[in-house]
Amino acid sequence: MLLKVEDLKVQYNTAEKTSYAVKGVSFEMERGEILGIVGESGSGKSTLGLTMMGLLPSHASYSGHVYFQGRDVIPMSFEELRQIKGDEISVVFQEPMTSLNPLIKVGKQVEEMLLLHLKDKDDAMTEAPDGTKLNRHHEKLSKEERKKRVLEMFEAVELPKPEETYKKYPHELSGGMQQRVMIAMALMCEPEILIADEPTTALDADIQDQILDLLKSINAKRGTSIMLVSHDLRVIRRVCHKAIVMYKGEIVERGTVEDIFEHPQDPYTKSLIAAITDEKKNSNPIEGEAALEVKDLSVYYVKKSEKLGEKPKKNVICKGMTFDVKKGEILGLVGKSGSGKSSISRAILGLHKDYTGEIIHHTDKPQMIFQDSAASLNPARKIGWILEEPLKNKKVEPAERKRLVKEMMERVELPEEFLDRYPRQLSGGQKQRVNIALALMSGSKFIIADEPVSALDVSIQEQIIELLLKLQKDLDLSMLFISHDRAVVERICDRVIHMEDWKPVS
Amino acid sequence: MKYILKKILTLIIALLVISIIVFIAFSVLPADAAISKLGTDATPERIEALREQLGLNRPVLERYFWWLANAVRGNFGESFQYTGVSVTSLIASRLGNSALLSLISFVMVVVFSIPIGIFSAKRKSFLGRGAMTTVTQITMGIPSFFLGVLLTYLFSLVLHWFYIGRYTPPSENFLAACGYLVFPAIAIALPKIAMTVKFLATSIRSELHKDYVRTAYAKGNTRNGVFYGHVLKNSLVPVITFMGIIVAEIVAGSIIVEKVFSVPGIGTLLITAITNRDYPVVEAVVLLIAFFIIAINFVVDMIYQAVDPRVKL
Amino acid sequence: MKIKNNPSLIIGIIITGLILLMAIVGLFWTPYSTTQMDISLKFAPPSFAHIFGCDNFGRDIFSRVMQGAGTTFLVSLSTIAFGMVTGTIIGFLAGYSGGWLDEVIMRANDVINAFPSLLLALVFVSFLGSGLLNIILALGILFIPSFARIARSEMLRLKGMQFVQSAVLIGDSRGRIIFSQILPNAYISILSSAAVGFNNAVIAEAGLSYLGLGVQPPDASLGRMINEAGSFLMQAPWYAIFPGVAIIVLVLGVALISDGVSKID
Repeated sequence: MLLKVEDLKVQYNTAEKTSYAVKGVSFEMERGEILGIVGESGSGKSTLGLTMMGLLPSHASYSGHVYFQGRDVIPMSFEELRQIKGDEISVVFQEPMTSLNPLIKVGKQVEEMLLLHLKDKDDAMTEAPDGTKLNRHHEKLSKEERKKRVLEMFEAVELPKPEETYKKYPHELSGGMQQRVMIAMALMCEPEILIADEPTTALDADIQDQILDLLKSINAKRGTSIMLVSHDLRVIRRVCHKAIVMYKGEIVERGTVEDIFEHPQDPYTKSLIAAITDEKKNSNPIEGEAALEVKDLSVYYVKKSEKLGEKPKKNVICKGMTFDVKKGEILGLVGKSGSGKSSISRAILGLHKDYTGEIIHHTDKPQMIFQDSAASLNPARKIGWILEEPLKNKKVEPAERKRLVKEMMERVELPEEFLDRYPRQLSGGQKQRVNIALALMSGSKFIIADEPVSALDVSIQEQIIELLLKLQKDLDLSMLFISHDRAVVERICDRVIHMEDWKPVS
Repeated sequence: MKYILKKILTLIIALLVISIIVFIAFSVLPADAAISKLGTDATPERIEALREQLGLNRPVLERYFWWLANAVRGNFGESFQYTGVSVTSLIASRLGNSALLSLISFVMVVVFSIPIGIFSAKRKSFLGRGAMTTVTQITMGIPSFFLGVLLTYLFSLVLHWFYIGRYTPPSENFLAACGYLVFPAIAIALPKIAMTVKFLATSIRSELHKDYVRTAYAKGNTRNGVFYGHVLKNSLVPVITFMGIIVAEIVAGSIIVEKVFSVPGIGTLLITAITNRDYPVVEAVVLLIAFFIIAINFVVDMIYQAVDPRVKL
Repeated sequence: MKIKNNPSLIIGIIITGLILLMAIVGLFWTPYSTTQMDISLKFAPPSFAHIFGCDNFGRDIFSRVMQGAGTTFLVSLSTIAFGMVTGTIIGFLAGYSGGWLDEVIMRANDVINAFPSLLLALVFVSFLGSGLLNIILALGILFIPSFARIARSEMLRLKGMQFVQSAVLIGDSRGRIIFSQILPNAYISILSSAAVGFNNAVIAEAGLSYLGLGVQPPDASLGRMINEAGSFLMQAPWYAIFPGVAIIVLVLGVALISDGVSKID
């Protein structure tokens, strides 16, 4: 048994309240295993790893046991734990850019591991599963020897041009390369366990896959056990042998990955799996009048050049785009993140002027539901004020305004007390409900939803989608639904079009 | 290299712009050189004659180029107040004193504020932190001239460690000059030390919450290893820019403190010149200080480039 | 954070409030006349009758400090009000419109900001001459750039935020967007820099008056009192100390308020 966690409890104490992050969790981990820990933000999954490393903030308190190779790390002193950290347990964090020291060359940062953990001679060689001898002995290495080891490790994590990368500063590397550096650093002392805390969340989709493959091959080649913490079930399914599902600080499901996916027991797990399985909306193609017509639309933006006298660059997002949205229809527009989807929606709304072609609205002013529910609500104003604003612009009487706002709150299933709260006092899902209410407040029948659920936790995503479908039916809305997530789009939309079809040829 | 050249070019342009502004500002003054020299009681004919003689009736642009051509050669004309004495020689005789005073003050700020800032940032207890904050907050608010008055009272009048007004220039006795200037330097430096301590402590505390610090702990660093190996250097980067502001503040502070301690420097020269409307002197001193401050900003920029790899050359 | 948990704010308001009260009372009534000379009280040390002692003409120092504090408040508040309103409007305009206007305003700001305010104030005074109104004008102009810069950066930060786009969509007018949507998000940082600016104004005014280039008699001034007291340090150290301490306490009070305000989220 490599790791045994028994009745681990962690709580965060702040002046206002005590919140329980982990409520008595027990589990085990075998040598050579990849264990996935899955849950949404606030489920306590990241706290687990931080506790083992003694990295919890000072306002956290904890109890229970974490036996690592038979020794309980919980009662250890800072110094005892320090000798284990980085050497036998190491960690890779979510944000590689900020996790590396910006002022030190990455080679030196990785090399620091060798200086921190000098080992005794008798603790020399260990054997990897494939029979190769691993040299864990790096006492009194010369400068050249240390550098050689770092370069070897850079090669092992598939960093291109190790010699050049060694001399680079973190900001000179791409996100994927930074994360490889973090992994190289974590592996430098041949740890028993690698904790990977959302290692791919901050990266682009294709880079994500590469990093996950790298983790898998490290596990296979070196036998390093990996604890992979993620909110994304797809990541877990791709990499892990076993998995634990956490919800509100407790383990609700555990087992092999196949078991969990094929026979989920807990309702929460089921909802998570349902959200990522492709489920199509049953719908008949809708005929009739169009709510929006877009003809031969080309959207671009002009990038001011840094150098004087150079012509500004024109960056074309789409060319010759033609489509319509029928009344009562939800049309899906799918495109990769960073493909300029938002510029298209902003052009349709008249917020972005750099376009050619025709945009014809057959309804009143269209409204928009934004992706970032926090940023789209004025932080200095109360929800009530925010929702009344469109009515004030229409010169509606105060008493009538209050009535209409209350009615809308009921529609989006929020309690009336929230009218007196500030946006920051609401959760992400609640804020997105307020945004939906705001979009509907002015009585518009045409809504553009720009990635309305992608910033939310999976279980909340589901609720918002249900709400959108309900409102669309009740109010007979037409909707343009923009997303990078095919699964979500197919679940909600009557018809789907793809950005790629109108990409300019470069 | 290209960057440095570009920087130097902007530096020269900035100086030209400032010289134009200063020149125009002083040439639209109601009391021009002729009136200042002869006094308001002089007959209009005499004033007009002197104007003609001094070339004041020629167009502003022409006068500016003459003035600039002379200024580049270090000739800023004659003082109104001390007839026959060139502005350049007035400034030259006092520059050394002011430079030494500013230098001593700056060294004090650097030597004291960095260790105190580190000490202050490391206070964890509510009481310890509160005490440090209160002390820095009060010190920051002491006007340097008042501090100067207090220091004069204590060290000159009560303790007799130095005698106010008995200043020896560094050219005669360097050590004696330093010994005297230490006191005005304290008056200038103390509030700036407090400002720097606060700035550094805030910088350190904000660095401590960053992700790379967590990484440094996760690597197995000791607490001191994390602090001195990772946090400190990052915290000092913004302090470099702050030091540029501090140097400018020291120069400004020395203007007033020189007067408190009767140091014959640029500051006392400027104050006397303003009081007596000796415009050529005011003009030259303002340009000199402007030049110095722009140069300091340039140096700060260069150091910043060298220290922070994120800033591209 | 609630006011209860904000000791800096409470203490700051109390200190500043007390000095403000003293200054306001000083406008109408002082314990002794500030012009009446009494040679028998020359350099009288602090006592129950004259808690701050008396000066070289036998005038009550406490009464003079009261009036001097009044001048200090008058100068600093008018300076800051002038600088803040003008600077905020300029900064908002520059930030909202962008383009060449923004460029020109900000470059001009950079140049002015590079110079210590005392030096610029001296230059202004050498043009305008000394006196209460000129000091307010000179310092007020000097404070415009710092406020313009803050207002502009707040505007740039906020105008790109989605809630502003959302406001455009629901039909808010431009004025309503700037004043109802953006301003409420910017005023904390503008006010907290107003407090810092107030202190700079207090110290700059005192410094100019100390040099004899600031407030002129008959207007009272703490800075000038310290200057006058400089010649009598041996006989009456309290003459210099009390006006100086008054400045320090006032600056401390406002700094604490600023500190407290910045902790309100």
